[in-house]
Amino acid sequence: MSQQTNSILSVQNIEKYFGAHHVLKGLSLTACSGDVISILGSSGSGKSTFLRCINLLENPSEGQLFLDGKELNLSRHRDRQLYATSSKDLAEYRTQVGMVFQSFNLWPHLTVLENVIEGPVHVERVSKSEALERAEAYLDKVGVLDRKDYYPSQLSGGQQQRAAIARALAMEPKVLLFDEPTSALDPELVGEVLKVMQQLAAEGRTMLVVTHEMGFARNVSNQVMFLNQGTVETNGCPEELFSSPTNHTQRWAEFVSRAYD
Amino acid sequence: MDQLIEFGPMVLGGLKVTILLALTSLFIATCFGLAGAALKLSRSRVLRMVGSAYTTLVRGIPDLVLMLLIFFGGQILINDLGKLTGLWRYVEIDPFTAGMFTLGFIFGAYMTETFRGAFLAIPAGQIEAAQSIGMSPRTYLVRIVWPQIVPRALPTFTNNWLVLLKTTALVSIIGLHDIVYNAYQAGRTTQEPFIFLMVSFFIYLVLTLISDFFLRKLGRVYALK
Repeated sequence: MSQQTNSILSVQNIEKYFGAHHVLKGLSLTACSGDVISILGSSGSGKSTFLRCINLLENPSEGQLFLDGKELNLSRHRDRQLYATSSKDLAEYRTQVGMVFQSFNLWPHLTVLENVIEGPVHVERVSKSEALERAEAYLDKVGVLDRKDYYPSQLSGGQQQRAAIARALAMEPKVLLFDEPTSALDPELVGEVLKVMQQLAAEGRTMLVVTHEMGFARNVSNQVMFLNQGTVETNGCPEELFSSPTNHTQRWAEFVSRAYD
Repeated sequence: MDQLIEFGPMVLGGLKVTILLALTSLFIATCFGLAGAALKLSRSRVLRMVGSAYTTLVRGIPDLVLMLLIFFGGQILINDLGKLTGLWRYVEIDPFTAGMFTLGFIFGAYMTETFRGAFLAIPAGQIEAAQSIGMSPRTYLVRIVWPQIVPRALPTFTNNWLVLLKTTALVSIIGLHDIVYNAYQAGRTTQEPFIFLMVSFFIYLVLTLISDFFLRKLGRVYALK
């Protein structure tokens, strides 16, 4: 498989079966440096499963993953799904592919600062002082540095999600995956998280974002993928897709009009 | 009163045996519980079945029956095995060892459910977050899972310990000189059974209160924020 020289992450022909249920039907995606790709679709379209296959939190049934042109070796287990052949390669790959979850998933027994230094100290094994320096810089960037000694439960949802973004950034990944990062938030807290994501996009970070936020997809991302029943229904640049939705598939037109109701 | 002064020290002497037995059994039960939970949570079906067989069997058999089986049957089994392999001659299991293993084995099954339940109560996202930054299973078990298992397991762990502490009294039946055995003997000798039963009653009560105090303290250290 030939890879574009500037592609950071390339995902080829991902298929996923849950039993007899065919959830993903050969999805591919290539992200170059600085790309912000929004993945849209109604619930059940497979968008979250697709994103989770990219860092192998979900094991695909078929497909290939390339990071920086280097393939992550996968092998088939007895459940007929693909797993990383080497756990060391998988760990290395995952440190390069950060993930932000819908439900934040901060560790409740650690303070915000401890959450952020956990990866650098216990995975990358950098010195504690370097990890602290890094953590404070990222917490400052996402605007929760003043909450660093609090426990996650003492923070608002928006603050928790921003801290979770800092935790992912602290690993200094090449790509960031966002799995519906604002879906669990109260409406008035959505903006502060989107603002941080917009800022990261402006810095030229490579991001894949599964979202329902049409404004973000339209204004921040440079590519939009619309999934329907495990296939790519529409794919293209947002200006084109959003300015004339009816020029594309009917499902996309309906999806856009429903979103703006 | 004279009888209490004369035989009191004998009853109190059983206290040491009871505490030692309870603590060593607790240690074994905790090890069995962790191993049992690991079996029942294993990805391998065979290992899961071994774990289930263990908990089902133990919870289905009266403690006393199991104790008599291990005390008498275990001894025969070990000696037959020694004869068969020629590796050892006659081994005698003393009541303390038999009691310790029986209680450890029984309460290990309850601890299995305690630890398994505590593990299952941890949201899957907690482990996924650890995996997503490249953490190895060993690291996240120590750094992320264990600190969240302890506070969730502690209430049932405490309960298991208190029941275990009282179940040590069963070992008096196979002749271990614990609080109950000594109190019963003192009661028979003096013809004042109630005085000495009350003494053992209060000893158990005090032990319970002390354990409660310490486990509560531990609970505060490990509390989920």
